[in-house]
Amino acid sequence: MPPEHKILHVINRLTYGPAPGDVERVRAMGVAAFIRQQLEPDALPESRDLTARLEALPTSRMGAVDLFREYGPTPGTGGGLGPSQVLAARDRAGVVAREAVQARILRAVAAPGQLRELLVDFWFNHFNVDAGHGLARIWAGAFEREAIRPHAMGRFLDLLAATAMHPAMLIYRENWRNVAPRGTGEPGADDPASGREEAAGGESPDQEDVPERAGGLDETYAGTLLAVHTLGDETAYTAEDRTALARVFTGWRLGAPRSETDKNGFFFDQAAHDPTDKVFLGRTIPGGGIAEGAAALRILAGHPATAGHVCRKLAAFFLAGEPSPELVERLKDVFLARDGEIRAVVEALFADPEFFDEKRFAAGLKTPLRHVVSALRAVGTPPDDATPLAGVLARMGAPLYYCPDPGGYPGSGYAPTARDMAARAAFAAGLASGGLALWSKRPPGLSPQALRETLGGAQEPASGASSRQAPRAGKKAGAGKPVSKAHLPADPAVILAGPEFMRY
Amino acid sequence: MNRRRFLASLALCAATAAVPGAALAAKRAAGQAKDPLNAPLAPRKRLVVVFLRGGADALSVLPPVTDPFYTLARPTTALPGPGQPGGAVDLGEGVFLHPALAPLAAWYRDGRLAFVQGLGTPALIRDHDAAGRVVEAGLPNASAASDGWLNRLALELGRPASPEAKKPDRAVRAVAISPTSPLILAGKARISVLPPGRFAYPASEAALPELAALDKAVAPLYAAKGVPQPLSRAFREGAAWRRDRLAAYEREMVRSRNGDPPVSRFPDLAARLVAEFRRLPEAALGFLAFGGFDTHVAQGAATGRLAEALGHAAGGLAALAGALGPALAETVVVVVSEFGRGLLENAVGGTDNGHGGLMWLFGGSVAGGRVHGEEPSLAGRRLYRERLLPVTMDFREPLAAAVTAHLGLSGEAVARVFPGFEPRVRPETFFGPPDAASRP
Repeated sequence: MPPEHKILHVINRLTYGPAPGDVERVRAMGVAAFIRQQLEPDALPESRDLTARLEALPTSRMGAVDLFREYGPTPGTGGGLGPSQVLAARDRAGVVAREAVQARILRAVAAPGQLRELLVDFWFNHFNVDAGHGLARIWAGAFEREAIRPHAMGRFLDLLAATAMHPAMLIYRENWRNVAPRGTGEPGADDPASGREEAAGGESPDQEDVPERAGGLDETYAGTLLAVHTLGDETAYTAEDRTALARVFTGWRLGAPRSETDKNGFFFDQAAHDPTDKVFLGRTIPGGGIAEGAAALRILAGHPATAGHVCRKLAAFFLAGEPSPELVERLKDVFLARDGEIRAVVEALFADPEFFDEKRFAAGLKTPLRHVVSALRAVGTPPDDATPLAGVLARMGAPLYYCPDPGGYPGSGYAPTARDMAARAAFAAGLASGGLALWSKRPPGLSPQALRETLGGAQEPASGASSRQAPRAGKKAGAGKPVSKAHLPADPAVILAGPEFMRY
Repeated sequence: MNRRRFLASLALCAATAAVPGAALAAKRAAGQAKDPLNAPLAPRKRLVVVFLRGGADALSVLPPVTDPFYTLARPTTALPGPGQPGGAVDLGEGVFLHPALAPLAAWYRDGRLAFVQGLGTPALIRDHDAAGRVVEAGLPNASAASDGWLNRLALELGRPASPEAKKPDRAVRAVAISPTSPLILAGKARISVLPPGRFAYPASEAALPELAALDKAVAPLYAAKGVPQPLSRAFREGAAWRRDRLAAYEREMVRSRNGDPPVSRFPDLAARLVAEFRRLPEAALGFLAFGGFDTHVAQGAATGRLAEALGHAAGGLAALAGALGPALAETVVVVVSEFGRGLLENAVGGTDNGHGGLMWLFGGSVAGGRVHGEEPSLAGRRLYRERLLPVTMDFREPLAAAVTAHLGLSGEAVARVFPGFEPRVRPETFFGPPDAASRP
């Protein structure tokens, strides 16, 4: 890869896209130093402006338990909740999801530790929770802050454990109602499921969302854990393994968030736990309460299939395309040797020759989130109010925190849909005309000259390698004519809606 | 004019009518006037219904500019707050008005204008024609309706006081200006319908010239060598998708007009309606309908399509008030739509058909200066999954109140005008007797 491409490539892949001055900065400090800097985000000076903007979003600093106390369903006074009270409580809680979106977008645009922000997005989608699923509406942002963000560059096992225990995941993947089936519970407890309900009425998270509470095994979480979060390979486990794993996680339930002692919203319910021994992936996990879950997560985190699955996905995310099997093997070795340390895996990836292979240059098509954030970074002024962008992302088909699929939004191999492209054109036109009122004063970075300078050579029409991989079918008059830089558009909307800006 | 002065002029009006000599003098003056258009209207309680076809956007008429969810739902069509360029007009107590409706603010402040929010048909109807028929028939199920509530109301007005009087009522009590005989006036009572004259809508209202130009500018870039095929295909499909969407919206927007003239004709047709009131002294009911509120495309904010339409509506109400003159004190003008618009802006800068909407009540006996009904919450649960604003009040509530509190008819009359409907809101909520309302 030529040196100029290398600079743009490393900015495009380790950040949400070039901001004003980024190209010069990386050219001055060198590509290797830039990578090292991004691998140590805590050493980067915090942006005071960003801190001040985040301060203005009070619910984005609240923990899951406090959020439940403040915005959860109001406790019934005798007869439970009427439908209008439930809806009113939900409307009041809308602020939580809105501020979470604002915080995420502001950080993605302005945080100096861009690599970490990308990894937060990657891991959030890997361990997706849908804010449209019951009480997850107040916890999706807290899930990101408490389970994803602290471990985004840390140990995979820590990430796995934090997500498994977080109330947002317990709700979204239904494990809060995963209880030991009748007859297998603790000796003496005939019906642990219904017994618990009476004892802890406050524990039912949201009556409205869950009309009936069937006691029994629920394999939803176990299935997602195997197929999406860890092994990813259906040949690596059997249906019996999944059932055994579900039994391991019986009794992993929501804390009683109204109790004074509850700290994190997680509650291990011994009485609802199936205490028998389990055989999981050929290994026996002796009955031992909550320790069984820890043992199962350790087995999964250290499993070669997990290493392969996670490394392939990470590589595809940063390469913006499928990695070679050899690269996946190399990263897998690092993953297993370094106890699943994510920082070590991405460091090895960025040091790999395949990462700088010319055919990877500008090979990716931006997801809606990357598109929107990269446009704001290119302009260089964070929005006064990020709220309208939540609506813009919804229009592009990817509302933040509202992906119903447990696999999250795709991080690589994404191709924009027709509606997404139409929405991107409208977004570009709205930014250029001021119709999308993100700033009270038109930012200077929105001029075509400034944008071209910021985006560097990325706005030069692609040629060479990238044209090889995309042979055009059919010919149009003048279509194949290369556009010289002098003819580049004078309208910022044309730059932001053009094909080069869709790629990274 | 403040409320006190307004009430004083109202009292003067009543005095003129009560003293035979003065009334006679007024009559003579009217007869001698060279221009019969300037003759005062016969004293009479009147009700004028103005139908804004297409579903006027409640969130633009009364923009909730202080609600942070407003800009989330409406990224490019939200109005700025007061004090900013093109900002909403602050009516106090958290109520804001579209800047194009600024001329109405004075009426709101002296208590002659009120709004009813969360208003609509009991069932959700997506189709303009079907929802419009419900509002005009005054029945929740109007698919087979053959008469309209305004005609039934005309029958009630002509109903003899004593059952012995068998002489049929031959007076024309309802007038309309409409290209066809509207459903709301269909029925047994005699009516007068005047044609509105020639009118034309702007061609291709659902065009987005800005985006069409952008598509044209970037199209060669997407067709250029080296652009990955999925991207160039997505671009072409996106442009085609928008064209199809716009064409479909165009067809719907044209249908939603119901053949009625554009709202830019409101001012001159308002004057003609009042002239018809003058010609037919028994006429107490009026109906006007205008198209142009089905803002699926490029709705705009402080300026643009909806702002223009609302500006014409404000101008029309002013023209109506001017033509009515002192008779405005005895008139109630009800502005309705078949439904409100959805909460979320769509992909082409517009809003789609919704449910809960807004009714405007204007005139002498209106308990104005306030917004009735339940404020719609924009928060959380509606943003991504539910796109409608709820209906919290049946559209017939304020109409039934006008029948009794304004026109002075009985509850039995309401039951005949709106069969099967039982009002739940006290009529005095909407129409206070002015003297009672002015007392502390």
